Amino acid sequence: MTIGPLGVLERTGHGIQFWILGIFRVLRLISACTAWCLTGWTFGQPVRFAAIATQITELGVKSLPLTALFALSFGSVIGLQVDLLLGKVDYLPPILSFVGDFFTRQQAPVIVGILLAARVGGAFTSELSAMVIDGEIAALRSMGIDPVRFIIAPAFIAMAIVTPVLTLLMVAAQIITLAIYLHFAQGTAFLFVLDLVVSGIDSSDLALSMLKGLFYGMIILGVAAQTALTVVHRGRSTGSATTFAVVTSITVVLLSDAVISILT
Amino acid sequence: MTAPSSDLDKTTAVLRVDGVSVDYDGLTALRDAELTVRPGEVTAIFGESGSGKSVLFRCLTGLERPTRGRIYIHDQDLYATTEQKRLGLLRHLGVAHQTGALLKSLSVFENILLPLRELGGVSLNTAQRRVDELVERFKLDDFARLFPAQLSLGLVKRVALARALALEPQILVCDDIFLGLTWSDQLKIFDLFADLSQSRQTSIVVLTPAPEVALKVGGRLVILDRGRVIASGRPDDIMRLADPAVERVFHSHLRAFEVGAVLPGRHGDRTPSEPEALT
Repeated sequence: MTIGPLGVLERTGHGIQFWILGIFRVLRLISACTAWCLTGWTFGQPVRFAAIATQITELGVKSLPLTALFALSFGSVIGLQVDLLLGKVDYLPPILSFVGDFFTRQQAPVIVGILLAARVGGAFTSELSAMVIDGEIAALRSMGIDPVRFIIAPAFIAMAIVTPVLTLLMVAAQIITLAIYLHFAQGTAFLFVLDLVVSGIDSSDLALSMLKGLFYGMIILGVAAQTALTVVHRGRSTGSATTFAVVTSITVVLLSDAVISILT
Repeated sequence: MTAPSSDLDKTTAVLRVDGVSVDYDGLTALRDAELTVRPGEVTAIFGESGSGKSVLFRCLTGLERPTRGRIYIHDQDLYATTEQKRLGLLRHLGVAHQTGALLKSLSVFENILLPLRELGGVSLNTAQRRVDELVERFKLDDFARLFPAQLSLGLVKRVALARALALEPQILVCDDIFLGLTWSDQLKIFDLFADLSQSRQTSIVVLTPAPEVALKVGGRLVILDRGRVIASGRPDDIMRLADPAVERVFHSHLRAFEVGAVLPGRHGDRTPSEPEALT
């Protein structure tokens, strides 16, 4: 290894190369999944519905309690903040309208992204990398079964379905929690708060929220799958691969959110 | 000693390795390997650790693209084709991995069912009947509902072999399938191989680091050393070879195992019969 300024330059170059290749490979994986979903049935190898249903349960249904907990927590905290703010401003409509907009466009997709990166990205990386290390993926390949179709594509489809739904549920649960909190703290009518918050949300906000959720879901699964598939090649253990995938996913979700927020 | 494949061999070959080399960062793990497998032929590939067996296994089973050379299955290049066609070609192969490589989340029954359901193009009932036959043949009745983590190594190998045979492949490739099996189970697998090769014309390739197994399996024996094929031919011919490299790699190991005292007659000495169920 070169030392000194040249060494720093070399390592920086390797780092940039690693990330560019990583992005390219994640995109290639996502396109391979899409190709299997669209064309697999034409040569007798469709993506399995049973596997998609299992993944929807694993990725989506089992994420509901955590999603509800996050919604309850954030909805209450925002409710508390609004309650404190009302002591100074004393004008509810614009604040609640802003909160509705904030929940939908900014907060819910990011929270769902982080939640899924930790719960789903971690579990998927861990499981898939163990399959790679134990030779299960090699066994599938040598049988003529593409692991992308058999394991990864069902998870992608499930993720594409559950992330927008979880994002919307997160928005709704936070708004309801906020309305309940303000009802008990301020005595404000529940439906009145609900109406004001929802007035700040239009269809484009909802569409953006769902698209963000979908995009983050694809990134999380792409990073998880790519990290797991290269676990042997990179000499990683299951644990370090899982940590890497979770940290990378959360970082990419936050950076993407910043970029998307500026652009939209 | 390696005889060049004749044109006749090439036209009738079900599996052909043509000048395959694999390099890893300047290290040549496999160098100009040649191999021709005809229908119904049983081939043992012997080599010590680091001889290039596993690399050759990975190339044969579609897991690693050779740096140079070609691998043909039924005269179609395994690697110079689309991913879909490669997956199609691999369906001619039944592969039993060294560690079994069973899917941990599936039961024994489901593991054997997997290739039939995914690739067999048969109804679930037909697939299940086929699995029942294999479960009975490999004496796995008591273990069909168990998961791989609950099985001994010997049982895992049996399940791996049953799974590899589920689609009745034309070529069976086994990587060190005998490791961890009792001698009695090994004998039954030798019988199974004899039955498959003679009654169904299944070509069998067995990679092994055990010289006594290589000798016993072989209708044909290939010896690998440091990534090169140093000998290839009938076991009897190999035994008579006075080549120093073969002496060092194969004959000396064989003497160490004292196979003459341990082994019953070779595969060729026995009349193949319907294999008994494994016990």
